[in-house]
Amino acid sequence: MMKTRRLALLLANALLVTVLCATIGEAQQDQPALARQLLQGSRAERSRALDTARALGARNTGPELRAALITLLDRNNRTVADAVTRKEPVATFEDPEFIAHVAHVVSQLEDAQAIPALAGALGTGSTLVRDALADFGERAAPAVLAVVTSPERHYSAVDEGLITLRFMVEGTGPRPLSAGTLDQIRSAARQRLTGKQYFTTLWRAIDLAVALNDPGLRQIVQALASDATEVTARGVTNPDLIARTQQRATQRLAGGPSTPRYRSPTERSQRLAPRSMR
Amino acid sequence: MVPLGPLPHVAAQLKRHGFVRFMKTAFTRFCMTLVVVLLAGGCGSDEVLSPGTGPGTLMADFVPVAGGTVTVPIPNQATPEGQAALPTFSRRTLLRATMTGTVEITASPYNPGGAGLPEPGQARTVGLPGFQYNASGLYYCGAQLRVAYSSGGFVIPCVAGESMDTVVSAQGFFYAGAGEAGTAFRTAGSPNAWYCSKPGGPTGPCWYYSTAGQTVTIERVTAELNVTATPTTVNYLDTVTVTVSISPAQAGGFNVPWTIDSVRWVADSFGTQVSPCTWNLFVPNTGDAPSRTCRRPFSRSGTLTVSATVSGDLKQKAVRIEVTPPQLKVTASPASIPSAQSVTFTASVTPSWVTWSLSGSGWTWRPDSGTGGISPSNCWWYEKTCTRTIAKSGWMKATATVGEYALKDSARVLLGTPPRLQLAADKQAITAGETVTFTTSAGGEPYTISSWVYRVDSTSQSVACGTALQCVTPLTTTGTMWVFGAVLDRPDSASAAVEVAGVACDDIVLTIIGEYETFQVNLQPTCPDFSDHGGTAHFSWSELNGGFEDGNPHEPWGMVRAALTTGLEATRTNYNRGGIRLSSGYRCPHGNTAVGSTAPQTSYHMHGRAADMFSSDHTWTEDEFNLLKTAADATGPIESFLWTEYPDHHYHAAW
Repeated sequence: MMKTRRLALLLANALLVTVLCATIGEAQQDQPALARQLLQGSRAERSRALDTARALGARNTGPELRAALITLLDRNNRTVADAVTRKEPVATFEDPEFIAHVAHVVSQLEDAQAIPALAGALGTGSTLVRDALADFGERAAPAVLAVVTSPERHYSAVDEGLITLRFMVEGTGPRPLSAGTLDQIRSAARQRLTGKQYFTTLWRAIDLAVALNDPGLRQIVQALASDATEVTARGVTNPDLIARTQQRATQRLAGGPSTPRYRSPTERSQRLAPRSMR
Repeated sequence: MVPLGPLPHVAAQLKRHGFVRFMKTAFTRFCMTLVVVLLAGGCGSDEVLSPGTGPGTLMADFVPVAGGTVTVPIPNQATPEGQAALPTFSRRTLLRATMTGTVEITASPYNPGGAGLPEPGQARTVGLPGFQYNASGLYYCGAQLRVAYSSGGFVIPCVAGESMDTVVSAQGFFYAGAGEAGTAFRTAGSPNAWYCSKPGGPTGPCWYYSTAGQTVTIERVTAELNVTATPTTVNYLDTVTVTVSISPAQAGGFNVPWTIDSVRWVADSFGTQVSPCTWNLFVPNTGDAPSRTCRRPFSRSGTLTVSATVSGDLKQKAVRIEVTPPQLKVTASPASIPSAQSVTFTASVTPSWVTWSLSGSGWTWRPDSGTGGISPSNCWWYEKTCTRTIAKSGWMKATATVGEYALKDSARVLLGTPPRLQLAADKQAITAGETVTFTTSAGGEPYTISSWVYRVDSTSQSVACGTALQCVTPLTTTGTMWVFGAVLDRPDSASAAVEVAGVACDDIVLTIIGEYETFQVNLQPTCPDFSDHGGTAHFSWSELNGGFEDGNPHEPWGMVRAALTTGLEATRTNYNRGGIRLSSGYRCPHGNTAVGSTAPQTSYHMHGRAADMFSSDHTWTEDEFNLLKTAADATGPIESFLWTEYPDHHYHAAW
């Protein structure tokens, strides 16, 4: 009697293990298919595959699907860059919302291999990219610095890069930045506070300079706050924009908070849930 | 006495009356002028008629009625006299006098005319150039308010080619009262007069003044009394700043006079208490400073009422001050014991810095049954912390005195295993939006609640019930309410599930929901997600819900999330450059595809979280786009697109 009961228990356990393995295996087998759909499928297939990848979550996303997502983000980055170079609307080549959604999903992977692609996606529509890069801290700093200091990059990418660096300086990363990285960030801030800049770039550079609390940079910001000709010298000639630039510099020097603010991975995850923010 | 005329007549008078008589008359005139000048000096800014330099100034009487309107009576002659009573103000009062109208001067039949003089009967409007008040002259002038009409000093009416502006109003301020009896205004009298005579004819006034058309309004300058306390809610003996102020504090450059007459304090408990802020504790205590403050510690809740006289008006304002009484807290550690063992009892008072002592017997041990259960003795009154061996379940009570407060608190010690936290819902199945009452318990033992959370699927939503033992909340989705707390000192949690049934859906809404399935959108909305109305202060429902013809043909039904409306309103505030026009808000799945979206499964427009925008009031340039984008970025959208994204350069953001 005892032997029969023990045998039945063993069989039940074996069945359960088989079913679980089959289920997990199926999910794993799905991911290469999703990866293929992401890179080779029609627009509708890509959109569906992307949403499936989002729903899987970073923990359940295997290496092949991760690689496909990062590749797709890279491809989108090139599309945006080409469109900007050609001075044609991005929407002519790819749906901007799809581009942003790919960046959303990759930003949630928390995968260091995605850093270059994420840095390339700065300023392409997803505001979650900068938060994700800031989470990497020191590891992502060189890629972001390359964007910020590049004379070829569109001002929107530079702006988002400056915001990302500010998040890093404000201490959102896993550990404090090294002295060398901080030096490079100070140098980047100085570069964007001097010379001709688009007004939004100047604004983001002011925010970063104040966050760095470097006497030299603060002096530049103080000069911008007190002397309109200093603003004009940066290429901002519209009187209203000059006034707004000076106002921003004054407020930041007085300790006014910089916006946008950093969002944690949990907050970002909640914002991406389809039923969030009701 | 020889009547004196204007200077152009000097030669004629000399010829007519001789030198001695002329000099005599001139001396008399000089003395009279001197008297008037001296009188005027006492009245501050009063303008003095100077006979011989023109028809000069006419001073008229009026009856100043506080808050009323009076017509100024002007006698039909050049030497008006009269008097009228000023009202009596028992307290110092600031009055505003406003005069409107015009004055006409007519040359009299006595006016000889010729040689630049007007012919008799000729009239001229000379206006109201102003009036004076005795700003500080109550003592010297007997509270006179003098209204003066002037033709402009040297101007003689009806001189050909002469022009003069007509001034139709004048305004001035003056103080009255301070216990002075009402006094009357009297005109200066004969020195004001100009007398004329035709050669050989009778003598009389040179001009007549019009008798109507002037109005003087006298009104009391009023001000509001304000009383504030900062902060209004404090802990026992915290300092509160009480500020009494008036608004406006000035009128026409004059301070509004006010005094604090009394301060009444009615404490809520323990009978009467001297006001922490009496009238003499407010600084500054004198003068007409716009505000006065008193900083004092408060030990009880109550109402402070300030009575003040503001520009003669008695006013009263009160402010409520809430004082959180000191609290005695008794703890037992551990609060639950498996068998007889040492337990430490601690009594503490909040705020911690106040002086206090245990009162009466200090500690009282009450076992659940019988007596004893504590050894070797009860805690002593001088011990604020004591450790004893406890062998029975029971309560340890402490009493303390802090100022006028007698405080007590107890701590429970349980011998045995504490009961579990329980949660009960008054309904297990509801329709969406119905309210459910969740009630906690712990088998009669003391417990505390730290938080409430409602879980739907794998997501948790905080419920705003704080640390309450009962939570009443409407629910729209099937889920489980979790409550977290501690029974005695052991952390615990409990849950209760609630099933929410679907609600009846409008057919149109069912159609829209069907589209989400047809187009395989990554969202499956339910009936409560949709509405047929809404909108915010600056964005209409039709803008938010579609914004263009093809976006949502199911109007007025649509789905707009709070995240979108909050984000848009915040963006508009940050933008601070006028309106924002939405070209697209919510799109149903069909509409989203119809407008050419290539994100047919995922567009946030279908989630009611995205909007496409332009400026309403500014030319749409790249700079303007970026001003709007910067404003939106500060509100934390998850999507914020570039100028180069779309052919029409609209700004797309999603929250």
